[in-house]
Amino acid sequence: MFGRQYGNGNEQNAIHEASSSSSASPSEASGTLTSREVLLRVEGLTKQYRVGGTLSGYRLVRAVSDVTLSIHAGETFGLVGETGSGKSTTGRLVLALERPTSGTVTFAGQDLSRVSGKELRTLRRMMQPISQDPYSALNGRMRISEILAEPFAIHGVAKGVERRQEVEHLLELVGLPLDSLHRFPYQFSGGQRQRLVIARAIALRPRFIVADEPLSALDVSVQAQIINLLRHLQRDFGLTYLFISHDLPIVRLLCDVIGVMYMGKLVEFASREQLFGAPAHPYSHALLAAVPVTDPSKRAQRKKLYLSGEVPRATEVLTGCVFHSRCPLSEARCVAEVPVLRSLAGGRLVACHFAPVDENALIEAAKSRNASVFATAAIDSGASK
Amino acid sequence: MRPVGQANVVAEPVLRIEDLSVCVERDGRSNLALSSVSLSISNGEIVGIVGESGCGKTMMALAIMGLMAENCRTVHGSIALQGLEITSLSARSMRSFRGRRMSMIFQEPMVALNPLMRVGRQVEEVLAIHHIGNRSERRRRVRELFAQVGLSGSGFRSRQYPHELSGGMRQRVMIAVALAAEPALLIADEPTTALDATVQAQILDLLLDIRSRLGTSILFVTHDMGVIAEVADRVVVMYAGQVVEVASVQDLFARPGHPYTAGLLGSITAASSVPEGGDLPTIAGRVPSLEEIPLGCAFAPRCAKVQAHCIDNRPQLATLETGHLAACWFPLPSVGDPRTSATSHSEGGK
Repeated sequence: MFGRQYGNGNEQNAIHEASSSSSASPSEASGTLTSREVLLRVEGLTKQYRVGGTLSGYRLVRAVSDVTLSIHAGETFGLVGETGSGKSTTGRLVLALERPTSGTVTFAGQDLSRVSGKELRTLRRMMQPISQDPYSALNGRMRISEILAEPFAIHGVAKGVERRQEVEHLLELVGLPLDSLHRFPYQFSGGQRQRLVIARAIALRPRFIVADEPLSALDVSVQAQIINLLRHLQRDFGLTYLFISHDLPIVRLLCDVIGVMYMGKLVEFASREQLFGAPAHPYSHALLAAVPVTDPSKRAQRKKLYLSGEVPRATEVLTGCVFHSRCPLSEARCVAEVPVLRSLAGGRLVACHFAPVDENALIEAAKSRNASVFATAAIDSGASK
Repeated sequence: MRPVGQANVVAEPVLRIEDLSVCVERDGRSNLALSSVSLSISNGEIVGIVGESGCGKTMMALAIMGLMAENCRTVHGSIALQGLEITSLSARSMRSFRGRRMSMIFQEPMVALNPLMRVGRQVEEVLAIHHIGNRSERRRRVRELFAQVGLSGSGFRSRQYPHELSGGMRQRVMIAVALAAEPALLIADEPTTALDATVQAQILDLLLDIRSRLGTSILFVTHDMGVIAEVADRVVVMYAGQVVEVASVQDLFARPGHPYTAGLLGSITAASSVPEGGDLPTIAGRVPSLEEIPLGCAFAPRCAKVQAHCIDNRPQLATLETGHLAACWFPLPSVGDPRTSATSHSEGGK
């Protein structure tokens, strides 16, 4: 009953617009997926924050910068990147929890910035968040029965006995015992709380869930349990996930397609096989190279790719490519010219002048750029002996 | 700095913990947080302690450093640092040991650093406290240390405050503070957990580099099997305050003996894909709280291979192969290994 179609031809328009725009868009990626319905379409999404509220002035932080992407019904879209890359802000913008500075979010054919408050509320039934910290996401003074009944109360769905049955069914779906109903959040472990957060998120049978680092507060053995739960729910309810994470091994397990963000920009979009097979953007290469080996006997064979420096401050004004200050391949062109997101073979997209980048060439370039740094360290250690 | 009496303690490990038990008093009740743990670290060795939260990893690190909370007490056992028993030392002697012979880096460098002091001063302070060098020598040493931990432009960096540095740079400062007095043992408690992936890789490489250049022994506490695979020489697996398996990193990953270790290895970091339509392997249930630790094998309630014998009898560490021990009545057989569970059964008997 919640799966009502809101699309009145807008999906087709969205795809059409994308193909006519100058830069490519993820909607054309991986041919098998284009036939499916585009559930969420983000175009030119930008969010700026003012920091430093003095009279004399303020600085602008561009948290999300001109991000365009499409998420198809039933798929899991992974958004990866490091702290400050704008992935969480993108998640909040997509849920219309914040207003974008510019750009649009179209969900099920409706432009979220144009719908009325009432319409937005109806749409919100279909899109739900799962947050990172299951400790702060649940009201500690409410019993589980109240917490899980709240979505039904807010949207006036199911009353009395029916509502109680719905709540009991939710507990069953996420694998918690019925006697949980009378307890309080503090009586549950982290993994159980995350199950409760998930139960609340699926209460109204949404179509779309934004999960922002839902596993990072949990122990490894519990992470596997929650991953299995998310996969079961997706299969049973046809859910579409936007899965935000910095943990590449988990993204590899869960996501069908992946967007890599750096400094507010989408720098690469690819299918799981494409990205983990051979990343195209130098930053994607570096992210993958940083994933620890899973077999200690392979330590020696590991290819080390050092990035010089760290992520620039968000207030820094960067010209050209956002990654140029750390990229081993950066040249004058990268400082002057912003690389557009362009299509490569197989429907993948990348924002780099030199993409696709060969791994070995990148490692060699990184080595020669870092050589001076290592030389200094060697001299220092020699002197200290 | 040279270890005291180096000539006659050549074979002595840097750290040797034997049969250590620590109890925590809470609400008038006393529970064992560490239960007869033993562990040793040789010169220049990196030993990883791995387990889920609440397994006693951090308690072990704090016990060694003599930094346990007031409600924690060592009830039994010994901790010897370079052959010297430290559990009976006075608070004053302990202070002269901390920083000088052993030091620790923490998960969250922003909490560990003094926000009101320039980072260079914080490194220099360690030298001053331990009366190392005069002022100008200390200054020079700070510059050396900053270069060693990869803080380029060291003169400029040392005049900055912690809030002016990124997470990775702060952790580098922490490492410089820890290394200042050239300790023999460095305890790293989840040093990369709060850092981004690319920065984590840099810090892990830095620690490996420090070990090979300075010969520092490192006790590396983490919940991340991937990090263990990257840096550890030997691994100690902890569960519910007990050591359940000890092995070289290669043996542990190739032939885990304890079902808990096998479960950890089967978890996400190790898996690269989920079988189509299938589930990831999981460990059912969760880590027991200190009050709930079972009398028999602590892992029995979560173990897929549990038998009646496991419920009432606590297994002791028993040798599976040279240098590889597991505390399990029915350790997992390794491929092509003729050893039966019956032999380890008799070895492990109390």
